[in-house]
Amino acid sequence: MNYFPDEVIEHVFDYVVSHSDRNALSLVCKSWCRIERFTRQRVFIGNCYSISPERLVQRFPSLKSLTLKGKPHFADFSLVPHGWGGFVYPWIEALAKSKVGLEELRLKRMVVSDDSLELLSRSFMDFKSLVLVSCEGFTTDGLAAVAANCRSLRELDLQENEVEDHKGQWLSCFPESCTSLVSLNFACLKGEINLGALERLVARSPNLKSLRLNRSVPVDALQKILMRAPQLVDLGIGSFFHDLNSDTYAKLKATILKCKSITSLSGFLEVAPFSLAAIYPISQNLTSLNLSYAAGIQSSELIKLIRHCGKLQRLWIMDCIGDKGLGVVASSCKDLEELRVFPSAPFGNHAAVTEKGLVAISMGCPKLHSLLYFCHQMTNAALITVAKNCPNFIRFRLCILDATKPDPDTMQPLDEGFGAIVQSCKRLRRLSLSGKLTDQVFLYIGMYADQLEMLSIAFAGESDKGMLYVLNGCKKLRKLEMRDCPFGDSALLTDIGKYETMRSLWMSSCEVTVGACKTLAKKMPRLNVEIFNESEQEDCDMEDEQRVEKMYLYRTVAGKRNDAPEYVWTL
Amino acid sequence: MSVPVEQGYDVLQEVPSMETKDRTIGLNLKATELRLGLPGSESPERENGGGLSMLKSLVSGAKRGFSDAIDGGSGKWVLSGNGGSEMGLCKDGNLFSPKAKGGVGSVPECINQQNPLSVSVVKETVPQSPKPLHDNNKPQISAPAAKAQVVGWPPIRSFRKNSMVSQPQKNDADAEAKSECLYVKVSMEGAPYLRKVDLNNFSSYRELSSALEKMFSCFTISQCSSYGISCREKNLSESRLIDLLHGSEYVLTYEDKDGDWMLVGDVPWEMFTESCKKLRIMKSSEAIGLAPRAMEKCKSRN
Repeated sequence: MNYFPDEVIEHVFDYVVSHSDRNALSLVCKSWCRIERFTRQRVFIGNCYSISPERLVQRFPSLKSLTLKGKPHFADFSLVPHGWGGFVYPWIEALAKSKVGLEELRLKRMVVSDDSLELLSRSFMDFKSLVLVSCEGFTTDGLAAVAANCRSLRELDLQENEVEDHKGQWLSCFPESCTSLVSLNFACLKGEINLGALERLVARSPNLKSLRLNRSVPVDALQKILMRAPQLVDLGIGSFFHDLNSDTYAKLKATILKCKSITSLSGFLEVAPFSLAAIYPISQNLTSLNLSYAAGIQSSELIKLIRHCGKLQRLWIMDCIGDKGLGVVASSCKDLEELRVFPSAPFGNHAAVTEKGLVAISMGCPKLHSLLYFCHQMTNAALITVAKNCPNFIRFRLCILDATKPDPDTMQPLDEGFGAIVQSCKRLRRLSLSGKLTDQVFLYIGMYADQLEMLSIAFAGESDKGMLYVLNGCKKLRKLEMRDCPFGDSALLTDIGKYETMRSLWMSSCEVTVGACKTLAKKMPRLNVEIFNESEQEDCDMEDEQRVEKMYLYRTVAGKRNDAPEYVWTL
Repeated sequence: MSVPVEQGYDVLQEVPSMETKDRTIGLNLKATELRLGLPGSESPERENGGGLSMLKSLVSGAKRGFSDAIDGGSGKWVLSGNGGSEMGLCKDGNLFSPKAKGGVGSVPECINQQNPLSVSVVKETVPQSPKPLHDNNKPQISAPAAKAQVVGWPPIRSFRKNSMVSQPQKNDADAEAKSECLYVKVSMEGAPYLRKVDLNNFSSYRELSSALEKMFSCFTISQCSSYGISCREKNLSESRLIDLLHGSEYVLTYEDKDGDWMLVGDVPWEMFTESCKKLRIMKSSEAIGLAPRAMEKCKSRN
């Protein structure tokens, strides 16, 4: 195998970039494994408890970029109690000790303390990029440490984190010598920031391409910032609240005209009605538009704006756009690839979306491959039409707000509709189901969804057969999560080897018992089977027949974790 | 079994039947009946329209599904509305929603509303019973009894949920205020007083002008009589009025945000409502500089 010197093989490996390809390389033979591990710069760990930080560091000494995910996905929906885990500190500590030259850290659903941020900022001289998504546990003090100490910081990207805002001067902590910023996103922060410091920071960052502001940045500050950074490619507007007759608005319109490079727009966390006309001039350049937090925009304005956005590839909006509005999207945005329609506030929602909007989109946007759609109802007919029009779906996530609602026209379950989707979309990797569903839909999924990697189920199914269809049929399944489904011990225990081929399994409010979980844990030592016992009774005996409210199991080479809270019982 | 072609979805002819042999083939009318109980539960006697009986069965505590997760309407994320089988659905998708006004005896109305939250009014008549999440004849899942909301549904990230709820309602209120009343003054040549109209009550120029006609008819009728036109018949006077307004006598103009007086009708309706600050019904003789088209119009009519 090894006719070439190591350096040559290393050089070839440089071209192999994707994680799965690199993983495959390391399995070929011992010397490739050795060469691969010393040259590996980027590592992705989908479950932070699947491997220990020490082992990571030992295997990949050249590590520069680490991506870690912590809590299970359903933690996003408050199903994981507080304190479950996902602490990043041990990782940063291990990396710091080992003298790994970390440059990039990307975390999702992890607990990040100010101490970890402080340690991070002091330990890695070349640290360049910090991306935190849906994390919690830190305050603006931690951000101040990052700003102050990371001399070559290029990217600070905070997406939807719960940050305690001490309203400090964290932005002012960027030293005058920091001129390397390329991307700064603090849209999720709730507090005030020092506008002068922000403006000066932007002024000395000639490479700044992406800037997302929070709600506290008013329009006049926005205008000044845009004047300094006409090279921006991605802009997140904080407040867009202004008097339409004012000078500020006029100046803003003029400034926006100069920002010809902007292709991605988001934010509008506060919006003055009828003010979107200011961005019409740049709308035709937009490829990405995220108005899913812009509750202040009325649907008529939204629709008018979208008519201008002929190049749009990604659109995130709220359902107040209505079915008619989606019709406009379908006729205006022929290149649309990703669509997310979120539900607006529960009250006063007179214009929502139904299956009609989705069908319209499918007719107008054949390139669509990623969908997240919250709607009031769906029909089999519509899903069948969509499946026919858009066979390219990679991600299809449908959430009918009434979780067990059948097809309102026929009163049938939605098995046939979803069946059509999995049959037609041969590249489907992620699927979320809702609506009234029997075991039949799982039969279809097992039969047709060969590429499926992640499946989310809620209030669906009739018997263990459903779950078994999926476990038997979906060979590439990595993550399976379900809540309130009638799947029980028989389904859980029939094919236990399957779980080592997957990253994780989540079952809550299903029919599995403690005894079955114990059996599983005993037979599969390389799985951690966690049961959450949230009852307040101290002497609560875990009897085998007792139903388990929440179970989370995942494969691991790290053994039982030592940071689990009291309510988590690892069997 | 073919699915009926409906609603213009062009794919539907024979939907390839994906049924296995186990499926019940053939029309199962009972299963598709509109009813409140879950399939398998005791159903009340069915009456045509089923209105009152639906309400009765609600009160009698027919087992409900997922819908029990109803909050006290505080705006928390709750799931209201029932699996569709539980609410009577009119063919065109309207919802029967028994309005629990004044208690049990009220007759339900057919509400033309897509909002399932309207369905939540039934919560007041539903006794708190432990809710099975699935059909009676299927294995039951005991859900947290009598909990007012379903945790984690709909599946929206907490960050997003929190930002919605804490969204200063003023945004909604402002938007509502803006959209609810856009009152502008309407003046007319020779009228002793002005009127006000809410532009949001109309969706087209046509509607606006017919409303203005009605409003100002009293003035023009007196004008009529001063021109010796008989106004005894209402129809006659109205059509005469239309002629007056659309013809040579009057021109409808508006003052826009910049303070200029413009002819009504040039721009799309929405743009007009956004920029209109005042309306004025001018005599065309006054409107010469403003409305050359009107002059042409009156020429062509005469």
